[in-house]
Amino acid sequence: MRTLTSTNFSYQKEAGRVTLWVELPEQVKEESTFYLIKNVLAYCRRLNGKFPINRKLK
Amino acid sequence: MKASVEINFEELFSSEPLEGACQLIFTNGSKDYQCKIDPQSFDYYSYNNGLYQCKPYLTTHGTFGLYQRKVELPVVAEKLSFKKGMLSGEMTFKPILPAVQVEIGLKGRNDITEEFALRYPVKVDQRKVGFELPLAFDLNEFEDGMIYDLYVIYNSGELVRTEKVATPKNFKADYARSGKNSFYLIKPYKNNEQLLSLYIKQEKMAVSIVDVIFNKTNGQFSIEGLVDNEAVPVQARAIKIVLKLRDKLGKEQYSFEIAKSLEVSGEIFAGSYPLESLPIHHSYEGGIWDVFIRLQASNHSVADYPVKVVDGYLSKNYHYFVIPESSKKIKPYVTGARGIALYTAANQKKEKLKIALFGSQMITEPFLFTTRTEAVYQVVLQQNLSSMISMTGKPVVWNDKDFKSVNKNDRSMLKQEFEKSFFTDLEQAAPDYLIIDLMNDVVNPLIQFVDSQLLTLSSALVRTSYMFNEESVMDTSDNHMMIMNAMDTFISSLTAVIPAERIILATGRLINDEEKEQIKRNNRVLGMLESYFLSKLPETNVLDLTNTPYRVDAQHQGKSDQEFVQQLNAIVLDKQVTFRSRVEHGNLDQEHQIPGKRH
Repeated sequence: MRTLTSTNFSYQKEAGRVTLWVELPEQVKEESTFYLIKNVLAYCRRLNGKFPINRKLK
Repeated sequence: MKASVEINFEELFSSEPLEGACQLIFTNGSKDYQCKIDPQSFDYYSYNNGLYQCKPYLTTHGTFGLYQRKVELPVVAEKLSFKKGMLSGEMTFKPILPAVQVEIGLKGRNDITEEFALRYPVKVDQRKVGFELPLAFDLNEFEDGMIYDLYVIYNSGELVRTEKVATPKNFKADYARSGKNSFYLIKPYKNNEQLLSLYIKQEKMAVSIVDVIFNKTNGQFSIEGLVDNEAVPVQARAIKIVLKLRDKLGKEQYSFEIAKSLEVSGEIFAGSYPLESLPIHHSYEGGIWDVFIRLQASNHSVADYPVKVVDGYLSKNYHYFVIPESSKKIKPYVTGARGIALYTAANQKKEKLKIALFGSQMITEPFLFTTRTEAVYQVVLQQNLSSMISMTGKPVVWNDKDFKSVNKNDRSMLKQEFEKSFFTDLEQAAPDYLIIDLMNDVVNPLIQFVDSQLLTLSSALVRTSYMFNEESVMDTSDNHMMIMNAMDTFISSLTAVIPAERIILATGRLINDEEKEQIKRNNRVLGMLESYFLSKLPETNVLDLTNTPYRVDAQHQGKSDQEFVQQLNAIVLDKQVTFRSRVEHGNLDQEHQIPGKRH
C-alpha cells in the first residue's frame, strides 16, 4: 500500500470537521482527487459510494 | 508540494450516512495513496439531529479513516394491554432532539418494500411516553398467519431510521376481531427476539365439498358444497369460487387467481365451469390450481377459504381434459390436505425452447434452481462472467495454464470473454431467445489494457491465477459516453445475429441490508443503462424484475426466480394461447393477480 504522511492533522470535534495537510509526491500534483472509500465492498465493490472531498491544493 | 483536505461530516454525510469504516484515498487516476497520521484517539461527533455519529480512526496500517455508526436508540414498551382491539402501554425512549419526528409504525414481516401498513405520530417530549394504538380498527391487510412487526420511526428531516420495539416483560393478550374485516382476528405478542409483533389469524370456517363432477369430453367441471356457519360468530355466505395457481417453490404462495360466480341457496353452493376458460398460459407444467370459496359476511367483509372434501367422500380417479390450442391438459384431484385442486400437465412431449443467456446471475440462477424451467427450456449458451462493455473490446490473449483450477463451465465462459467470441458462439447456438441483463456492467470493474483491450473483473476471474496490473482496473460507471458507445456497438453486433423480438431484456434492481447507498447508486446507473438499451432497441421484450430486487446477500433468490419464470413463460408461451381466445371462449368473471405480485 502506498502512503503519504500527514504533516498537520486536526480534528475539531464540536464542528465535526477534520483538516489534514499532506506532502504530495511529485507525480500526484494537480490532477489529484480525494475520495472516501468504504472498506468492504463485496459484490458491489465498484460503485462504492465514492465521492470527492472539498479539495484545496496549495 | 503540500495539499490540505477538509472533511466536514455534516456536509458529507447528513443525507447519505456511510455506516461502518471508510478510508481516505488520494488518487491521480492511476495510483492510490492512503494518509498516515500520528496515533491518537478520537471522540464521536453526532450529526443528523443526533441519529448518527462519526469519528476519525486509525486503520491497522496507521492511516486515516472515518468510522460511522447509528446512535443506539432502543425503545422499550411496558405496561402493555390489549383491550377491545386497542394496544396501549408506555414506551421508554432515549433522549432525542426536538427536531426529530417520531412515529410508531407497523410493517408486514415478509413485505420487501419499505412501506408501513400503519403509522401513528408520537410526541416524545419526555423519557416515558404513553401510547394507544387502535390496531384492530385500522389494520386493513390480512392473510392467515401473517405477522406484523412494530417499529419506531425516527425522521430527522433529512433521513429516516427505524428501531424495533422491545418488550422485556411477559405479555399475553387475547385475540380481537378486526374492525375492517370480520373474518380476521388480531393479537399482539412478544416474539422470539423479545420484540413486539402482531399475529393475524383467519376465523375458522368449515367449507365442505360434497361432490365434484368432471366431464372429460367437454372439460366441464362442477362442484357442490356447503358453508357451515354453526358455532361461528361470523355469519357468512359463499359468493365466488376462486382458483389460485400455486407457486412451485413456495407451497403456500399463489401467483395468479381467477374468481367465478356460484349458485347459492342458503348454506349450499354449486357451480359449473368449462376448464377451457382457465388462463392456462399462466400455468406451468405440473401447475396446481387450488380451489377456494370466497365468503362474504353480513357486513360485506370478504375472505377466501380453502375447501375440504367431506369425510367418506371417495377420491375419484379423474381423466385429463386436453385444452384445445394448448400444449396442456388438466384434471381435478383431491389433495393430500383433502382439498380440491386442478392439476396441469403437458399434453405431449414437445421440443424445448433454446435459450441463450448473457448477463449476471440474476438471469442464470432461475435456470439452475427452478425445476419448472427444465421441461420447457434448454440453455444452449451462457455467459455471466462478461459485460456488455468488455464484450465490445478487443480480444485478450488466453493462456490455458492460468485457468487450470477453474471449473469447466467458468473456463469456457472466461475463454469466450477473453476471445470476445460471444457473438460468433451465439450465431452457432441459434437460440430461440436471448435473455440479457446489464447488471454486470454496473457491479463489476473493468480491466483496461492498451489498445482497447477490455476484461470484466468478475469474481471468477479474481480466483484464477491470471495476473493483471491492479492499476489498470477502472470504474466506468461515471463514464457515460464510454458506456453509451459500447452499448451502441453491442446492440449492432447483437442484432446482426438475432432479431430484437427474440431478445428479452431482464430489468432488475439490487437490494442489500448493508451498503444501501452503493446499492442506490448502482440501481440508478442500472436504470439508466436499461432505458438507453430500450430506446435503442424498442422491439426488445422486457422481463421486469424491478419489483423483486436481487438480494446481494442471499444464497437463493426465491421470489425473484419465481417472478422470472412466470414472466418468461408469459413472454414466450403467450404466443401459443392468445388473450383473445381466452376471453372469447371463457366466461371469466374476474381474473387478477395476487396483490403484491406482478405479471
